[in-house]
Parts: sequence; C-alpha cells; structure tokens
Amino acid sequence: MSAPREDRPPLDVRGLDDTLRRVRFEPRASLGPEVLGRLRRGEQSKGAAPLRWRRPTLLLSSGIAALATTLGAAVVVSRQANRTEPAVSMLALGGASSTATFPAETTVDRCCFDLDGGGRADDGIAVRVARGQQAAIREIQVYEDRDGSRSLTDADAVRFVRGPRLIVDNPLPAGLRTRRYCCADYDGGGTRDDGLLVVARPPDRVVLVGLYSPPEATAGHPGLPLH
Amino acid sequence: MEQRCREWYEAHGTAVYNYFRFHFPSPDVAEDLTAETFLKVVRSSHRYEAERASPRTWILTFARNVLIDHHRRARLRRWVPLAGLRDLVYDAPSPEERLLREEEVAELMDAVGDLPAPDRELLGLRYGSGLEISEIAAVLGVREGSIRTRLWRALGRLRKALEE
Repeated sequence: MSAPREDRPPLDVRGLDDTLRRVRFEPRASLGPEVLGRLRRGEQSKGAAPLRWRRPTLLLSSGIAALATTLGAAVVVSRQANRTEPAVSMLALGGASSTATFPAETTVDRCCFDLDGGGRADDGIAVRVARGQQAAIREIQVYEDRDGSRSLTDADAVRFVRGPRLIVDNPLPAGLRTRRYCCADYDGGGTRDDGLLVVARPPDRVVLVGLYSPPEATAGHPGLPLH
Repeated sequence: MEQRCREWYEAHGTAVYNYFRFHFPSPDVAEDLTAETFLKVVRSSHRYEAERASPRTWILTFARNVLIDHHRRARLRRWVPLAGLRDLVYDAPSPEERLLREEEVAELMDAVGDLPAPDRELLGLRYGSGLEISEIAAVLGVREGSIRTRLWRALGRLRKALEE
C-alpha cells in the first residue's frame, strides 16, 4: 500500500500508521476450498433470522443462563492422565455476570512443572479464561504448589500474576532462563495448540509468562515435549 | 460461478479476512464472516458492474453488510485472547520474538476494539483491507477529504488509547 503524499497521516500518528500497516493476518489455507465447497452444495448464506424467532431464542438462552446462575454451579473436573500429562482442573465459576451474553469463566489449572528453574517440579500455572463466542484470557498466575495439592490453593505461593497486558520487569534481572512448554491446552479450548513461555531467574523469580500460538501446533506438529 | 468465486477469493480473500480481523479478536469469527461474504458475493455476481466499482470495493461493500448483520445477530465481546493470534503473519524466528510480537499486536488490536465503531470501520478498511483513501470513499460513499479527516482523528484516538 504505497500512499500518495496527501494520504500520509500527520506526523504525530505516522508511527502508528506504520505499525498498523505491518499488521497482517492470514486466513487458514483451507478456507477458500471450504467456501467453494459450500457454494457447490448450494448452501445459502445465513442472513438475519426473522425477529419472531430471534426473540424467543434469546429469552430461552437467558433463562438457561439464569437457571445455571441460580444453582451456583461450580463444577470441578479433575483428571489425572499419564505421567507426561499433569493433572488438569477446570473450574466453572458461576457469578453475577453469568448471562446469555456474559458467559462463565473457566480456570485451567496445570501442575506441576519446574517453571521457575528451581530444580523441582513444584510450579503450577492457572489461566483464567472467559468462555464465550471468543475465548479470552483474563489472567495468568504462576504458583508454587506448597501444599502438594497439584492445584492453586490459599496455601500456595503465587510467583507471578499478569492480566491481558504485558508485564516485564525493567530493568531485567541477570541470569534469566527461558523455558518453553509446547503444546498443551492452556486456554481451555479443548485442543493442545497452546505454547507456554516462561522467563525466570532461578531459583524462584518468574519475570515473564505468556501463552503463544506456536506455528508447529497449528500445523499439526506435536511440538516440544511438556518436560 | 465457481471459477469467479475462486478468482475473487484468491485476489481479495485475504483483504476481506483482514477487514474482519480488525473488528474481531477471533480468527474463527473472521473466517466465518469471510466465507459468508463470498457466498453472498458470488450469488450476486451477475449484478457486478466493472465500470462502477472495482471488485475489491464491491466485495468490501458486501463485507460491511455481513458485518452489520452479524452485529444485529449477536452482542459481541471485544477481548483479545493472548493465544488467539494464530493467524498473525510475522517474521519472528524465535518463540520469544513471536510472543513479544503477539503481545504488541494484541495490545494494538485491543485498543482498536475499544474505539467507536466508525473508527474501527475506517481502520479495518484502511489497514485491514489495505484500501486507498479514494477506495474507502467509494465503499462508504463519502468524500475523500472527509475520509482523511476522520481517519487521522481515529488514529489520534487510537494513539491516545495506547498511551493510557
């Protein structure tokens, strides 16, 4: 996109203009054939549903959500898989915000790894995710599992907390070590397509934690082992 | 019809997809709406008049309508998932660089998502679809000078949001 002179923005936003121009997304390669397939099948585009149908549907959804909220359902599902797959706890939290348009949050709690480089596999990661049309990660906590419960409890020491914004210590401490864990389901989406990156200074200082989308995961590659 | 669909998708599919990505943090929603747009476009292809609009601006007019329909159907949340940028294109060889780039773009798109809808619309057409000012003016039916003014103001609001 080579802009004519008059299309160049004012100086104070030119840097932002450049940044935005560099942001590119690529649809998955199979989307084009999928569209063609839908066309061949004679599939109709969705269009807006008639109002008389939309309203009862919305009311029904709201009713179900309200019922779930009233029951205050807190479902804990724990499963202990094989030795390379740590315990996974998913806690569905009911709350005041649980309505048809504000779905429940989920916490994916995985333990135990050596995330901080201390030499002991006693660290867990708890990822709070809002489940809805789009999963959104609200908070990531790294904790030391002091009580051996293999999940985050009040007795554990929280080593790092972050929200949607990036948090990095400045200046960075010396002796940092980066560990990557790939690939697992850290966002509760049901597929093992998330990478976890932890920058820490051993033995117990966690400096940065983030989830990322490894290309090897989206390409179906199993990625690096969890340990 | 199928041949035309293939040609138009290959030429403009990514522009339409990127337009939707400036409106939604989820690649899945952007994919659905891109497919929806092309289904509508191909079914209406007999109405296309090359002398009145380029294929890209014509197709993006459909994309805008698909977006409006989608907003009518659902109240949407505008969060940027940290691990939801699987479709981001970048030249970053190491996971650390990829993560930092994802963080940077996530913060940027989060701020875009918080802008008023008309601002998002302009940014989506300009930076998502890569349209020139004159093309945006054609899609929106507004004079070019007005588009420039609105776009620079939208960028100013975005800069302010990022600084807060």
